[in-house]
Amino acid sequence: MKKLFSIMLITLVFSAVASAQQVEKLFDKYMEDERFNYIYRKGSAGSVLDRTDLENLKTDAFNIRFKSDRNKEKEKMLILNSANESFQKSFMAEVDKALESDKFENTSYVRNGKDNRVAEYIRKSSDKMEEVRVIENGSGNVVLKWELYTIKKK
Amino acid sequence: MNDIDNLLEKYFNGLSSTEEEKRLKTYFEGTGILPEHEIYRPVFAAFNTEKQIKAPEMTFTEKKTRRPAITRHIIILLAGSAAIGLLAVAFSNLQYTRSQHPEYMVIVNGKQVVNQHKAQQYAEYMFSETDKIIENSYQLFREAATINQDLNAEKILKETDQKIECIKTNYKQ
Repeated sequence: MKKLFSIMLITLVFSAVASAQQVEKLFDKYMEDERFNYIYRKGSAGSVLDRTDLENLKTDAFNIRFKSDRNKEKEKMLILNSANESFQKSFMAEVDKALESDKFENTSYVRNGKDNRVAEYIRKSSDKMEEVRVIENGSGNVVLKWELYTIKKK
Repeated sequence: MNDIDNLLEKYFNGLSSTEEEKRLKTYFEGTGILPEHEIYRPVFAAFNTEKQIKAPEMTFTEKKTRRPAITRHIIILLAGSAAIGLLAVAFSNLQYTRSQHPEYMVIVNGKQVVNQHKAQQYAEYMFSETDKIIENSYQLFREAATINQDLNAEKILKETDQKIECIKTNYKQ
């Protein structure tokens, strides 16, 4: 009984860890795939404008994303340029499944026209925040963008 | 179009000559781009800004004063050694930082862009283009908020009351 309980506990912990990073796994899976472009940028380094400078340049809703109570650690994008509609569908199904299993919350969904959509998903912990945006259009283009922030302590 | 594929591979590995880069830019500026090369068009649109960047020239108007020959030689020697030393330190740090934590990583259709400068340009361009799309999508929210504000019943009633009061006051006078 004790042995069975230990095995169950180990399996539970292992499956929890394994399922926690499904979105990141998607990036690892497709980053070298010929149908995709993969772009990674370390948040704090190298950009022409500091993110806080952008607060002065941008307005309204867009500005919310650059509020200085958090630091962007890193961001990455997967861009699918495929005319294969069935692959686009299966990729989107994978994205939706990964977001669901990583427990991301859908915070906005803009549908413009028949096939165009921009959706935003957020996952927060005490000191980290992840944002995922999915941009999709009907002609085989999908952009999956993931951003990781550290929340500043007050 | 095997030739263009070869040129692209050389370009992304930072091995292409100026002449070869010119050929690629001419190809991507033209209209006869093959469907399999369409994906690279934004890359070259972004890289086209390279030619617009020109370092400002600096001119010295100060009058030259001739120092004694020995002092001049010592200064040149010291400055040379200092410059070599600084370069060595800077280069070793740069190499260390890049090997440990790459700031940019770009893989285009399964091929990694090895040249960090080109990877940075491509990444900055693509992130900025994506941000523009996201920003435009929020435009709908802004318009909805404005409509909501304009159709606020309480606000309309308040404004109508004020107008009636104004008419009443004017009528009494």
